[in-house]
Amino acid sequence: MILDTDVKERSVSFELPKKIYSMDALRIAAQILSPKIDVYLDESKSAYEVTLKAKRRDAGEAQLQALAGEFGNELLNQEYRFVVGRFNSKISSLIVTQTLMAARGGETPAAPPAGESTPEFKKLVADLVKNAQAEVARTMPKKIAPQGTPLPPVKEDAGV
Amino acid sequence: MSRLTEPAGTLEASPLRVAAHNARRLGASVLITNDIGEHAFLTASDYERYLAGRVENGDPLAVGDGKTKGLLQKDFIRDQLDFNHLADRTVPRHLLDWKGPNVHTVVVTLRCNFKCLYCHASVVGVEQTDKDMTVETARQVVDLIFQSPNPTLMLEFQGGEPLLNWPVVKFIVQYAKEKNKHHKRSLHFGLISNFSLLDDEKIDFLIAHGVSFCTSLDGPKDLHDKNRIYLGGNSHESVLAGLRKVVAKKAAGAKTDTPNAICTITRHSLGRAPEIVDQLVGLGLERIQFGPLDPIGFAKKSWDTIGYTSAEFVKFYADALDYIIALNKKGVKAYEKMAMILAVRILEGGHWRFPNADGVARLAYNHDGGVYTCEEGRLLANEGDEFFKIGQAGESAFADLLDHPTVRASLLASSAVSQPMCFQCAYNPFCSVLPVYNQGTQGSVFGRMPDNGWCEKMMGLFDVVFTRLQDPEARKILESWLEYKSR
Repeated sequence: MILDTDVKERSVSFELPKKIYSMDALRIAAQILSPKIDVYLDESKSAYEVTLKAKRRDAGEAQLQALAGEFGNELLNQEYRFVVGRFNSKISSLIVTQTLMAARGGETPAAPPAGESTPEFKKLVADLVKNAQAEVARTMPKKIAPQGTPLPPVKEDAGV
Repeated sequence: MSRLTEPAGTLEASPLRVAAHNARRLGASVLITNDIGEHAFLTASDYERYLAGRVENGDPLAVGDGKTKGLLQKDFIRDQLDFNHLADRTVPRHLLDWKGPNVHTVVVTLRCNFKCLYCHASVVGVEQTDKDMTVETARQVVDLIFQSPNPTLMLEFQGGEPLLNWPVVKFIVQYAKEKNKHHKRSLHFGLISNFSLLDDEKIDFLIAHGVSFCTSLDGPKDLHDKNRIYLGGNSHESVLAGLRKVVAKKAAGAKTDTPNAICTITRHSLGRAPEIVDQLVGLGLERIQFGPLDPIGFAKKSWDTIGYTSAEFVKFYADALDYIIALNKKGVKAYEKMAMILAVRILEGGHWRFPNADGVARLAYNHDGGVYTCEEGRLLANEGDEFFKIGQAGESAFADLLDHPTVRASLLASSAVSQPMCFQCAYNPFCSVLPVYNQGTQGSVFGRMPDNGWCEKMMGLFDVVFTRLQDPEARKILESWLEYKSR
């Protein structure tokens, strides 16, 4: 793969043969790496012309080459997943569907036991809740620190 | 070097005699495995003979030696496949009767009094009580947990430091036990704590209600205190004091298991395997459990100072395992948990298709009632990635959780039959793909195995265990650890 980097634009461009890579794989790879790069595509008759633009402002030559490498790896991975999927997607889908159906307890999950609807049980739960809330009120720190308050500094005897 | 070096080289397999298998060179041997979880070690020349179809039905390699099965019984010979055996082994592995999530991690608070170097938990200070689970949320979480159809339920308390929200821990235990009088499940509880707040009153309550204890002990004092900083005192001593109290209660007749301690491995631990093992064994702990760091969550931020390569961890692990095996030879009773789990998978075929089974075997509940496919998924959410959030206690029905597209995506990603590289890997029948690791490090649940750190680490661990299994003495010890599998 011949890379054409432009550090000023934080971009790296290269061509990918259409014979090997699909648009689907390109789109998935672009989505997966979207936190790091924006992907721009053009195409000729036989190749995709890809330009990656780094989101990090300090991306230099080495980082741009690494991003192109990572994009290439992800692209190959996705293309290969399609190949594996063509062989195994039916069995894989069957296994997953059976797993989900069994784990959720069938189409209609069981109703809760009748004992939970009795007044005795409801009173018992209400008492437990009341006692726990009273203990929270009695024992918890009264002051709530504002969000984002840093943890206190470490004491000298803390063994560090 | 590729982790999938092909031991067959340019040799062509005989289409009649060679059944589908994957292979990996391990030293002088070639390990072959198949999809029903059978394995065999062959010499390089025997492997060539096998590939060429020159292992006849009467060959010792095919029929075994009376004590161990041969390639025929293990279904490696294509024109002699036993389809009834294959079906018996395949159905439970692929189409297990899942019973719903049984491990439920409940984060009762994000507050913590420790400031560990690697804590994934993104904790907050001890005064920030708005990051506690409320009693009402706890009730909704327990109600949701009991909607799981699994006859066995395990509720694990985590944080932050869970004992900082002690009233809610107590409430959950009491409420779950009351509910269980009607549901009649096999109900278990576990507390994962730094033990700094563990006093006699709490211990007595926890023991009385059958709650098991687990803490973190990273090794000798200097190492532990460097990793796990206690904002209010001596970190190492507080763990030891808690461990000793529980052990003493057990010795005095209290009905409780020996507490467990997980040892997190940082860069500071490398090269110190024997000292670390000695510390744990010296406390009377039988289970040695190492927790490798992953570059996700909070640990990602401190990776430059505490992280390491997968190869460095595998080297540490190999040293530690060899040391524990050597202690076993001297009569010391101790086992390493990961080796035990891998040995169960390898020797008993007791491994299912989705080993992590996020969403279908385990769930995690945040302090605010948010439900996640797993604890690591909740940790990613703390970093801003909510991908693994699948519901909300008090709003979601249990079936909604399982119907969430993230659960399906995680299962598909966990399935090695659809993963590039995994489906060609000799360790495929025994291994685990971790979607949350993939999401956290490579941006998708499916991941990219050739440069995936989890994969590199797991292959290294399998190399270590399979290599020891070739040594008769070490194998005998690993086999003896199978007795711990139900603990």
